[in-house]
Amino acid sequence: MKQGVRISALQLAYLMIFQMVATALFLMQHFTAKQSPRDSWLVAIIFLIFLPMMMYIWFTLGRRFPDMSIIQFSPLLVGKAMGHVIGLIYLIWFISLCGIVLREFTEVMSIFFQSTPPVVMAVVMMSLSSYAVKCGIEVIGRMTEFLFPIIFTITFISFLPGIVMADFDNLLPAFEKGIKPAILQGIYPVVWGGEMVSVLMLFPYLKNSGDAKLGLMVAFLFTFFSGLVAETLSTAVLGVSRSEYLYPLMELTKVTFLRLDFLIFTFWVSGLLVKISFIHFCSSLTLSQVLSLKDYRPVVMPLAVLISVVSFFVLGGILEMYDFIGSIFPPYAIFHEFIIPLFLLMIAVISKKRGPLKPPDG
Amino acid sequence: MTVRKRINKYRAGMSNPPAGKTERNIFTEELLRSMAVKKSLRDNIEMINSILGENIDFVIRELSLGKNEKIGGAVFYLDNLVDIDLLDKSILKPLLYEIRAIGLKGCDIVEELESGALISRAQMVKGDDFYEVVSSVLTGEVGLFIDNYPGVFIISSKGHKMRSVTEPGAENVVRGPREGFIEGLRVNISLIRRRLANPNLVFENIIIGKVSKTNVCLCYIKGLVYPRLVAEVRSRLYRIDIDAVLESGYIEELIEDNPFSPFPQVGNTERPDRVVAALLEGRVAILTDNSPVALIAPGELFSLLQASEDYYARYQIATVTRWLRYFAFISSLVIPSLYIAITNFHQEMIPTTLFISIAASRQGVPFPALVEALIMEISFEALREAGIRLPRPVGQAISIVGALVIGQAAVQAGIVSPLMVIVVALTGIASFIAPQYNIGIATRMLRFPLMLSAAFLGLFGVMAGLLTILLHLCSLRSFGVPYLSPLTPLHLEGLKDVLVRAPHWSLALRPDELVKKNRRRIKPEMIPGPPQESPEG
Repeated sequence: MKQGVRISALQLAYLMIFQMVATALFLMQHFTAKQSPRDSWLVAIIFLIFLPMMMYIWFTLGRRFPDMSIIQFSPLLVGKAMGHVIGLIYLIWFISLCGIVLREFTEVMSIFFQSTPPVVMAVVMMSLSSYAVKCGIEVIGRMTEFLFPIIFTITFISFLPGIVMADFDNLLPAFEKGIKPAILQGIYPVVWGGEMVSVLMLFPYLKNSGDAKLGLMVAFLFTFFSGLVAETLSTAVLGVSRSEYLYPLMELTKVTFLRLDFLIFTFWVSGLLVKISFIHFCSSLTLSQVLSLKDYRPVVMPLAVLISVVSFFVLGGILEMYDFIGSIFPPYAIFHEFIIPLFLLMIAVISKKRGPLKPPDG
Repeated sequence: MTVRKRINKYRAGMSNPPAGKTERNIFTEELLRSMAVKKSLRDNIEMINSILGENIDFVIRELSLGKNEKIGGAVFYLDNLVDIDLLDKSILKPLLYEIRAIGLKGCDIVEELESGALISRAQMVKGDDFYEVVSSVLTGEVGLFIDNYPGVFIISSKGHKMRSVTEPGAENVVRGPREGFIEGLRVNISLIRRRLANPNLVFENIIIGKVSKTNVCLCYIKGLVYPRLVAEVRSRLYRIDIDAVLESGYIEELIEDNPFSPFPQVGNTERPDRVVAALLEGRVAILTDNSPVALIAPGELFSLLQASEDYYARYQIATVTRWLRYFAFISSLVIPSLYIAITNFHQEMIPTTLFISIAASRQGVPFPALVEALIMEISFEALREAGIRLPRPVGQAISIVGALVIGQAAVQAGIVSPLMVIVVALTGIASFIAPQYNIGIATRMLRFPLMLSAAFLGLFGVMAGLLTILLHLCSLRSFGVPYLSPLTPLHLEGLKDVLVRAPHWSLALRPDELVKKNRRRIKPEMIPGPPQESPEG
């Protein structure tokens, strides 16, 4: 009864949402309010403009090659040598991204477990992730589908008490520090949302490319509205001082009489597992396709080790991490999320190249 | 010396077996098949005696048939497997008396028997080789040799002792049928057949077990079940090559998708109504002879967490009970590890007053929370196991020991804290709520690794353990059906029977991961209501 490995549009949407929200929820809010805290809700508008544009590029590019990942079709577009270079670029991107996310995770964990060495957390997380990746994208998709309603409900409930303390006067005056900083801080959600570029690895696993459209649209709408609400609420509750917190949204959960922040973070661990295992999967798939391996499973464990090492050596500490995400990461990410897909799409349109159609499901 | 006498001599000499008996012939299936039934009665009797004659329960009786021109014959059977009354009335009586009464000649008897007119039993077949002879005698049928006839008549008159149909031991209901399966396959089939008077209900027989030759019955509803599912189950059953099947547990273990998983992937039940409900959902049932437990495939997690009474009770309470069950399923897994994690790592999460009372109660306890929990959980598991195995009269002693010694004395002695006793009790109650015994076993076992990881990494460890279990559940399949369906992959229609128990008038369609066509269960718009006009006019 075995059929080809497939994920549904809904699972894709959930994967994409986790891809952005899993880390955005506790990290991104620090950056979106750095320059002009009162205008942080504006970032949603920037997001509204840029993300659909990027999604359109990924979708039109992916639809041309419905049975191939970006690693497989780029040699068709730019030649074998350049294609391999692009493959390597994405390999480094996925590994570094996964390492950064893992580091973000261990940094937050070290707040709660001050005497446990962070390497323990990294090892636990990467072994879980390796297990997930070895089970395959179908299992990651199903796990996401199972976890999404639970995590969404718990997060929602945990932020509810914060609403009582919201003071919407905190949002005024608008454009306190001018328009430019308000717009500039809008780059972060776009960069975070741009991590959904990994959809270009998933086209072969979709029943048809229409599923990708649906999945991306659902993901966009969800991230847009939840982002808008979260940004507004967090400014309204925490005021101008919110940019001073490292994890502003986590502060919202502390207003109740119980210190439930760790419980909520525990649920977020599962969200992080989805994100990390998904990027881990993408990097394993990329490596196996760059090396033309038949199966990606042999490279999962070596990559897990590599990613853990990267997470410890790329960044020196939590301050360096914040500095990196604040200044270096956006251009680095935009290159992979926007420029390369755009470049490939232009070549595809000009040279009128298309990939083979999907074989029908057996 | 007649054969009868020889057998009696064998029986008399049982304590002192004749020489050479230990090196008797061993009859394999191939050998028996190659031995054709001969024409001479004497040869046949010799042969059957050499195969079965040394058994105490083997009976062979020689007859001489017909009014005149008598012909020799022999009836043989295994003593306690046939119904002696039936044998007398409908086999021996016609053969010995009625033939004489109607004045049938000996030579016409075979003809008369072949036409089926003489013997009034419902089933009578003819066999040609000794394999057929022996295998039918071994399953409780009566064989009949006639002189000068190269064949055997096999007359069905099974009648062995069996337990009567009683209430199932492990699955009780407040409302619902009180019948449970018993060890007899035929009776079990009749229990199902009585509930589904449908020509499309199929019972396929498969004989499994090289030595035991156990009848295993594959049961499904044609036109409703997904044909590939039946083919898959059938091929997995035919693949089994084992010496004996003593219980359906053998089969369950041999047809699972993932043999290393602690979670059962095949449903099992003692209730015929549950089997019928499963058949109507497009599942396949496997009945095993000599086992009162039927298997249901595929068995996904949520179908294992449902009780048949859910469908008999009012839907509101059934929904609440279901959630209670899900909650209990998770709590039986995590309560002890949560206790360990919170008392050791995350004291800030509980209200201060509660924490003070926990700290006070743990003050005299010499062990860390993990050791404390392990002591209590292991002794609880031991008590539970002892309660099952012990003879009834001693069972009371166990409950006294459990309640007094473990519960009270351990607390008074300061070995464990009172809170720990509550935790263990809660876990125990929660693990008993699972409607299927074997799904509770999975949580019982997985509790211990979770406790360990909680002791090492606190709540994060618990979460890591739970995520591993979740990943495992996501990767499991039962006969091609994902284990967590309909929750993931999502089937909205199926959620009506998982998140809630929707009323019957709303459960319009059969689960779509199982049934591909003929999905409608009930006519649309069957919601009952008061009459449009009042009856008084």
